[in-house]
Amino acid sequence: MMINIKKDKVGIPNRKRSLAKEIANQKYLMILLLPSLIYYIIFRYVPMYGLIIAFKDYDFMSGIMGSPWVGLKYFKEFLQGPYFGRLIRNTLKISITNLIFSFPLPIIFALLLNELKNQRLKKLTQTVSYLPHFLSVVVVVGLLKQLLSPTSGVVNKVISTVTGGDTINFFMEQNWFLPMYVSSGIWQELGYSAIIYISAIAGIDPALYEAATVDGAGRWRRIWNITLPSILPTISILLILKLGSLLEVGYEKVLLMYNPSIYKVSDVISTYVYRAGVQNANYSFGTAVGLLNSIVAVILIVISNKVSDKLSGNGLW
Amino acid sequence: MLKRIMAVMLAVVIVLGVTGCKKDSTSGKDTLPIEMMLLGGGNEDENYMLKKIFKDKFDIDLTINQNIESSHFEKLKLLIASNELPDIVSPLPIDDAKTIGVKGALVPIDEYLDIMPNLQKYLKKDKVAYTSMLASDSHIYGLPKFNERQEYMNTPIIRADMLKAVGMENPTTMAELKEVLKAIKKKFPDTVGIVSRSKESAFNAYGIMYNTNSGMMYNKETDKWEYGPLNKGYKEMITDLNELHSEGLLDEEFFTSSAEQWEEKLLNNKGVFTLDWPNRAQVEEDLYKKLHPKDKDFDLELLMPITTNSAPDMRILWSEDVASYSSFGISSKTKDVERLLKAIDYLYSDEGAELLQWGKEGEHFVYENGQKKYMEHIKVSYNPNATVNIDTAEGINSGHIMRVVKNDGINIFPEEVQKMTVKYQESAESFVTNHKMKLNFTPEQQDRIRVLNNNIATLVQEESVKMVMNLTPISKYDSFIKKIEKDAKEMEKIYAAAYKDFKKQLKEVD
Amino acid sequence: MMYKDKLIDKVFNVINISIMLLVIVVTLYPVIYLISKSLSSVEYVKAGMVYLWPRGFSLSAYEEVFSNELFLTSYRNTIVYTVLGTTINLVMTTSMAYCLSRRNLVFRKSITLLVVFTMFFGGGMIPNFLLIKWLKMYDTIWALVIPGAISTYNMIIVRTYMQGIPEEIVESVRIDGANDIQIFIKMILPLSIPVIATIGLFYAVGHWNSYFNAMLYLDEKKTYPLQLILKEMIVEQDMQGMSSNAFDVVNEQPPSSEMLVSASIVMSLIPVLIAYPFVQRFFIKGVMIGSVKG
Repeated sequence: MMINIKKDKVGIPNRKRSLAKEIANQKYLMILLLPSLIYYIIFRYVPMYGLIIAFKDYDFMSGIMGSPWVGLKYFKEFLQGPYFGRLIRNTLKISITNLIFSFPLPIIFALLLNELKNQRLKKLTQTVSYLPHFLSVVVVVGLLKQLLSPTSGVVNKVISTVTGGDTINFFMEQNWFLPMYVSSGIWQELGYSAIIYISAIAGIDPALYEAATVDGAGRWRRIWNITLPSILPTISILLILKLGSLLEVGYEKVLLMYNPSIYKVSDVISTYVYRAGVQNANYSFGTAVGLLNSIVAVILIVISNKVSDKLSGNGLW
Repeated sequence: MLKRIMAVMLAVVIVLGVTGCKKDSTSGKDTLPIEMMLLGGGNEDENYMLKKIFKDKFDIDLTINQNIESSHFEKLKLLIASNELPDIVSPLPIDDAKTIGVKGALVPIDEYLDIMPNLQKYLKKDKVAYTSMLASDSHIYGLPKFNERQEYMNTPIIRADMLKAVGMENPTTMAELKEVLKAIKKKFPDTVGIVSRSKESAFNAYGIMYNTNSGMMYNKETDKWEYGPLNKGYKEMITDLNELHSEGLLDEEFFTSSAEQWEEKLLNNKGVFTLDWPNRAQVEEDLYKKLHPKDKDFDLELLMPITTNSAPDMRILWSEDVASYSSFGISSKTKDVERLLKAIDYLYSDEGAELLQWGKEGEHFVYENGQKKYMEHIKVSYNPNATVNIDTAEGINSGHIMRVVKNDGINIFPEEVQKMTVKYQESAESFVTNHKMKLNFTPEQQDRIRVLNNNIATLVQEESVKMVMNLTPISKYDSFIKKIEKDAKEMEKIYAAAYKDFKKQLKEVD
Repeated sequence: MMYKDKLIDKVFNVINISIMLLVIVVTLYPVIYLISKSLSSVEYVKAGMVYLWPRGFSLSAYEEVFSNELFLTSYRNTIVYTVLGTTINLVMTTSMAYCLSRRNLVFRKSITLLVVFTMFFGGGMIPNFLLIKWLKMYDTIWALVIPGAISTYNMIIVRTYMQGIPEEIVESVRIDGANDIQIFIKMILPLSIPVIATIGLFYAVGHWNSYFNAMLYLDEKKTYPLQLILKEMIVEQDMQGMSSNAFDVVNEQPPSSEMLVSASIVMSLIPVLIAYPFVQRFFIKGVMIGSVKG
C-alpha cells in the first residue's frame, strides 16, 4: 500500500522534451520555489566565502579578502596537535553512545504512547515529558550536580547507606562522565524528540488498524506491520541526519560538566576549539576545524544515505 | 477560516514589528552623535549621568548599548573581527586594546595628551602601570580607570565558633591551619574542611600564599617572569592540598562546586574555611541568622593571610589601582576625535569624577563630617530601606564608566572588613591582582606562546587536580614536571626577552 | 477472525501505564522543585533546604522580575518575534518542501543536494554579521526572522511527509485542471497539517528560546527578547551577589540568582504549556482522505 518512492515512474521528465519547455510546464512550481531559492543563495551561499578564513591568517583590519594565505597551516596544527587523537576518540564515543541509546528511545516512547488507551494520561504524559527540553543546559547540569553531590546529594546518601560510608564523586570519575552525559541528555530530550514520531504515527489511517484487528493481528503484529513501516521514512531520514552530525558534540554542556581531572575522557573537539579560540579570538583555527568537521559530516551522510537507499528505498535525495 | 486568522495575525505582527523599530533622535546641527558599548545591566534613559554630562557640557548625543559580561565580550569579539567597532567600548581590556590598536583599529591616545590635561595628572603616577599601557609601537590605546579606593579580594575566612570550640588560636601558617582543621574535623565529623567556588582557578588564589601561579607569573623575589608550576611553591601547594584531601580536610567537590553549592556548604555547617571576598563573611552570617534565629554561635571571621614555607611573608590579593581591565577603547573610525577626547578628559577631572561616582550634591549625596555619603533612597549597606540602584538607574558609581574612583566617602564595607583592612595594610605585603606589569610581544612571539600554551596548559590543570584529589599518586609529580619542562622553559625565555624590553621602556619614563 | 485482548495484553497495559507514570514523575519532579525554589525565601534556597514544596513562601523572585521595566516589554517582543518568525518559517519551508517533493521537478536532485549541503557548511559568524550589516538589517526585527527563515532539517521532514502523500490523489486533481499552486494550497497543505503543526512547534520553540542572535544584532534594550532580558537579570544578580562591594541590604536580602533562574523558567514555561495541547489537536488521526489500494 505504501508507494515505494524511488521506484515510482510517474512524471519523470521525458528527455526528448527540451529543458526550457519543461521549465515552462512547471512555471507554477518555479514561482513557488523562487523565494526559498533566493533565501538560500543570499543567506547561505553568499556567506560561504567566509570559509576561506580557514586557509588564511585572518586579520580583521585587512578583512577576509585581504588577509594573507597560509594554506593548510591551521589544519596541520589541529591534526598534528598533541590532543588530536583524544579529541576525536571522545567526540566519537559520546556521539555513538548517544546514537545507540538516545536514538531508539523516543521511537519506543512514541510507540508505547500510541498503545495507551486512556487519552487523558496520553496527553498528560506527552505534555509533561517535553518540559525538560525547555530548561537551559545550565539548569540541567546544575540539577545533576545537586543530585549527585558527594556531600549533599540524594544519590550518594543512598549509596553511602548501602556501602557503609563510601560515596562516589561522580564528576571527578572518568568512568561516570559518559553515563551522566548520555542519561541526562535522554531525560532532557526524550519527550521533545518523540514529538515528531508521535505526529507521524498520528497520520496513519486508523482504518488500517481496524482491518488488521479484524484479520486477527495482535498488538505486536500491528506495530510491526503497520506502525513501524509507516514511520520508517521519518526514522531513516532522522537517522541519516544524526549520523551526519557524528562529530558535532556541542561544547556548552561538556564545558559545564567537565573539569581538568576528567579532560581525558570529556574533552571534545568543540571544547578544545572553544578554549584555544577564546584565548585569542582565533577565527582561522576555529574555521579550519569546523571545515574539517563539515567534510567528515558530508562523507558520513553520503555513505549512510546510500545504505539507507539500498535497504529501504528512503534517502535524503 | 484558519487561513484568515493567520493572515490577520501576520498583518498585526508586521505592523507591530515595524512600529517597534523607530529610533528618535534629539540631535541638533552641531551635535556629535557617539555610540558606546558598555558592560552593564542597566536600562539607561536621558537621566543617565554620562549621557547628561556629554549632552549638557559637550553637545554630544550619546547612545549606549549595555550588555551583561558574557554578551559584551562575545559581541565585542565579533565587532572587532568584522571591523565594526562602536566609537567607545568599555571595558576593552588593555591587552586586547594593544593588540587591535597596533593594527590601527583604535585611536592612539598619546597623540592627544596635550588636550587631555586631567588624564595627564594620573597617567604617569605609577611608572610600571604607565609602561604597561604602552603597546609595542609605544602608543597608548586604552584609557584606564584609576582606582584610589582599595579593595581586598581573596581573604581567608574561617568558622571562628568552631575554632573556639576546639580551643585553638587563629592559624597563621599552613601547618597551623592543618592542625586546626584536623581538630575541627575530629570534633565536627560532618564538616568537609576547605571549600571553594573557583574551580581550577583555585590554584591561582591559593598560589598567592605560595608565591606561585598555574601559568606565567612575575616573581618579585627573583625579578623574573616564571612559569608557576616549575617553582618550588607549586610543588608545596600541590603537596599540601593533597595531604589535606587525604585526611578529609579538603572538600570532595573543591574543584567542581558552583557558587550556589559553595554557599550552601557554608550555610549547612559543612564548610569550615574558604578564600573569598571579605564581605562574604558578613553576608553568610546574616543569611544564617535568618534561617536559625536561635543559633547565636555561627561566626565567620576574617584571618590574617596564611604563610607557607615558600612564602613566609604575609601576602594578600587586592585590586588594581590602575584598572587596565576597565579601559575605554576609542575606535579609529570615530568622527571628530578631538571633541570626544576632550569630553572624556572631563571625566578625569575632580568635578567630572565626582559626578560619575557620587552624583549631584543634595540629589544623590550629602556631606557628613566632611565625608561624602549617599542619600537615604540609594541602595548601599548603610541605607537599609533604600530602593534605588544608582548604578543601573542613573549610571552613577558604575564600575566601567567611572575613570577615577576616589576614596573620599563613608566606607561602604562592613565593620569587620574595615578593621581587617587596616591590619592588612599594616602588615601584609600587598599582592596585586592581574599584575600591573604587562609585557608586549611580537606577533611571532604571540603565536609561539599560543602554541606552547595549547600544549601544556591543559596538562598542568589535569595533573594538578588529579594529584590533589589522589586520582594520580603524588609521586608522579616529578615526571609531570619533566613533561612540561621543555615548553615551559621556552615560554620563560620568550617572556624574559619581552621583560628586557619592558625594563628599557621603564627607564625612559620621566 | 477478530483479535481479542488476551492476558498478556492486559499485563502490557499495566506495565505501559506504570512506565508513563514513571516518566511523568521523573520529568515533573525537577520542574516542581525549580518552581518551589522560585516561591521560597532566599535563605532557604541558599542553604539548599528546599526539596519539594516552597519554604518560607515568598514572591520576591517574581516581584524582582516584574519590577524590571524591561521584562514586560521583552515578553511582548518575544511574542511578536515568535509569531512573525514562525509565520515566515512556515510559508517558506512548506513551499520549498512541496516543490522538492514533486518528483518531476527540474533539477530536483541538484537543488536538494545544494540545500542539504548548507546543513554542514556555513560561512561562520563574521560573514553573516557583515551580510546583515550590508543589507541594513542590523538592529531591526528582520535580523531575527530572516536569516533563519528555513531550517533545512525541518524542510526535509516536511518534504519527506509530502512525498508520502499518494501520487494518485494528486494526479486525479491535476486531471481536473488544477495547477501546482492550487494543488499545494487546496490539497497538500490540508493533508500535511500534522507535520506542519510539528515543525511549526519546533520553529516557535526556537524563537521563544532564542537570545543569541538578538544579543549580536540588536542594540536597543527595548527590543530585546525575553530570554535575553532574563539572562541579564540573572547575571546581574550574580554579579551583585558575588562582587567585592556586595552591599546586600541588611534586612531584605534580594532573591538569589538561582531563584531568578527558577522564576524565569516558570515565566518561559507557561506559554509552552499552553501551546502544546493546542498544537496536539492538529495531530489528527487518519488525515488521509480515502485509502489507496494495492
